[in-house]
Amino acid sequence: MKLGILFSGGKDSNLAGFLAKKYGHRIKCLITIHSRNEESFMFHTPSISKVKKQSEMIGIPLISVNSEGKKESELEDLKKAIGLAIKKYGIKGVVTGAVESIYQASRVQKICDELGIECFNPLWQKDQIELLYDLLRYNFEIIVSGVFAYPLDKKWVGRKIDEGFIEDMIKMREEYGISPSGEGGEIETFVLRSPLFKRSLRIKNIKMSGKGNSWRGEVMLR
Amino acid sequence: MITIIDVCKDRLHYLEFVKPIVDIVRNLGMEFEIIELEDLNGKVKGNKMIICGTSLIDFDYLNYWQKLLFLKDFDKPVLGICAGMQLLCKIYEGKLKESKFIGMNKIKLNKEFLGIKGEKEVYELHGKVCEFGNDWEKIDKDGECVYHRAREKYGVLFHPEVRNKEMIKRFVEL
Repeated sequence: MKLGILFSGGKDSNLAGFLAKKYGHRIKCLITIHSRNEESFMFHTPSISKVKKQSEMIGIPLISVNSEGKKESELEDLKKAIGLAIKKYGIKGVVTGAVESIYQASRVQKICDELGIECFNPLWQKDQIELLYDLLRYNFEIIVSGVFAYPLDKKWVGRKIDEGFIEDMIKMREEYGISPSGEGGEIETFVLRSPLFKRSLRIKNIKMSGKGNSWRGEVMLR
Repeated sequence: MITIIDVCKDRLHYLEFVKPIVDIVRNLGMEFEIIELEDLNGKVKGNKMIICGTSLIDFDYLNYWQKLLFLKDFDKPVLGICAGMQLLCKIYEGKLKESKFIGMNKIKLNKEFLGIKGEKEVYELHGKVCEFGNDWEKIDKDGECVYHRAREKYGVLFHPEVRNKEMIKRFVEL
């Protein structure tokens, strides 16, 4: 089936897209909503230029739509973007990286229903540690691009997701109740390589901003 | 041994509608087998069966409902979830009606059902609902939870593998 990936540039949407391809689907485009609202309930997207770089590495076109980020107009913007993907690339369904959030998943389900297309959530209800280990197993290269929960701090931004990271996150869950793959918005990630990439993206430097237990790393690519 | 029936037309939906149930069963340390509805030939190893759901616009399973007719003589507990409930409805000569719901809903149970009782929030994703015959008992007024007492068959319209996972545990440990 021709599919579009709802794509944020982070680990979940990249893994979901990879799985869709692994199960025999044709990925026709990536769909990104760039929300001006940093607190958006629906979308967590770094700057469009970096998502564009990822789409070039995958060799699949990117549809990106800007959104003011107001709660319900965001959904209209998403619907518009998916509608565009249907028209332009003939997609018959979308893939999301939803794991736990019923809020996000059911809104995408409703939009797909209105547009008469399929909705795939291949990470749905997946165990978070299993998810992190799957990323290693499939040779994803991922860095933490933001932290937003105590006691995570500046030191965590820029860390690679490797075995040591997963072990540390398991400890964070035990001691502080942090969800290991950041389901509660505790961390954000940026993918430098997935099995769909032709080659890795390389970091020039990371511009840090934030304070205390809330830091964002703007990844500058070569 | 639990027999898990996968009714999804598209294999990618296995990850969304079957695997979450497999994970719960596996974490309970239970043995299980997974059979695709199309491949059923009346022989199953399980002493219990779970029939899973599928995506909102996938109704392909309705072409294969006769594959489950042997359940009328299967004297062991069966739990049908969403599409699985609709399949139970078909083999017991019930009626399916168009009715869509996406998201969280509230139901009120008039007695305990697979470990849940009272008011409950449930996650729903369906395009049809079931009207069962008189052999079936409705546990809530809308028939989101139904039970065939004589044959130990359970049906739920919502997805307990998403919210109310303990229901699956309770069923597996019956």
